Amino acid sequence: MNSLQDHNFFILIAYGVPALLVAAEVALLWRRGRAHRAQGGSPAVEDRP
Amino acid sequence: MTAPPHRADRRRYRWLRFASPRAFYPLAGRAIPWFTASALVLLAIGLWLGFVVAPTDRQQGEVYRIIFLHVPAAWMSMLLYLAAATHAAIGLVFGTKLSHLMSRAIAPTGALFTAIALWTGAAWGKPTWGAWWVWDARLTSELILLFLYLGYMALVASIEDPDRADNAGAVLLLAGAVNVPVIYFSVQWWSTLHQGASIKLDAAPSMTHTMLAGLLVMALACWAYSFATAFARVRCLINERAALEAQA
Repeated sequence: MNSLQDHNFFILIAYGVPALLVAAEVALLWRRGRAHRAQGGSPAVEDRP
Repeated sequence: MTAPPHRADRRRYRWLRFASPRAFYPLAGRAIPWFTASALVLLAIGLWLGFVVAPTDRQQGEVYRIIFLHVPAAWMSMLLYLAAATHAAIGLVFGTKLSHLMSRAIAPTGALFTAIALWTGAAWGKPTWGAWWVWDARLTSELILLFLYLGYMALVASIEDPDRADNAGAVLLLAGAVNVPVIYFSVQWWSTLHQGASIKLDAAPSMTHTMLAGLLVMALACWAYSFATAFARVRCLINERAALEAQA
């Protein structure tokens, strides 16, 4: 394996694994948000800080 | 008879209104698409600058391009911790519910960026240092930051009473904040294998303008992503807290 291919492998894993992690976070948030939206509307919380 | 509030006071109270979860909920909802779109556009520009425009590094070759993710992720890991700790402090002092919820919303994204910083650092370290990991002061303090994030999330999830969980988590976040300057200054305080800062406020950057531009645009993309995910998560948390209070 020459140096350039070797570097490409490290660049690929350096960007690929974070892309998967970000995709997982977005998917989990999307699913959680969808569950809340299915329950309907904005929350009935008291209007104070 | 009391005098009518001054215009500046009225404006201040209007902003304070958003410290209420009910007022903040729709505001966050409106902001999410803008931050998401900004993150995507900035990411595309940042990757183009980093992979197409920026030249190959004379010493490291192509592998240095990991910097365009590694450095913004490391910055975000520390900044998000400080943001979560600041919200925790405000929540402890003023008893504002939304502040604690913001801490909870920021922490998972902060942990994600810490994990990304550590992972990209390992992927960069192997071809340049010859090792995936060394017990260097910078790396070790960043690993401690990941444990602080995970510890905070585990702590607030393990305490049933939400107010007690908020307060205990806030104390942990504030105690752990001492680690952030340790991470930042570790390369100056100790003799580390990790290189010193490439960008300093009081000195010219030690890289070409295109590299610097790519780095800063990627950092802005990470900022926009963090706002989008924190706002999306805090909306879920506001809903969940409201449901919990309705049951009580």
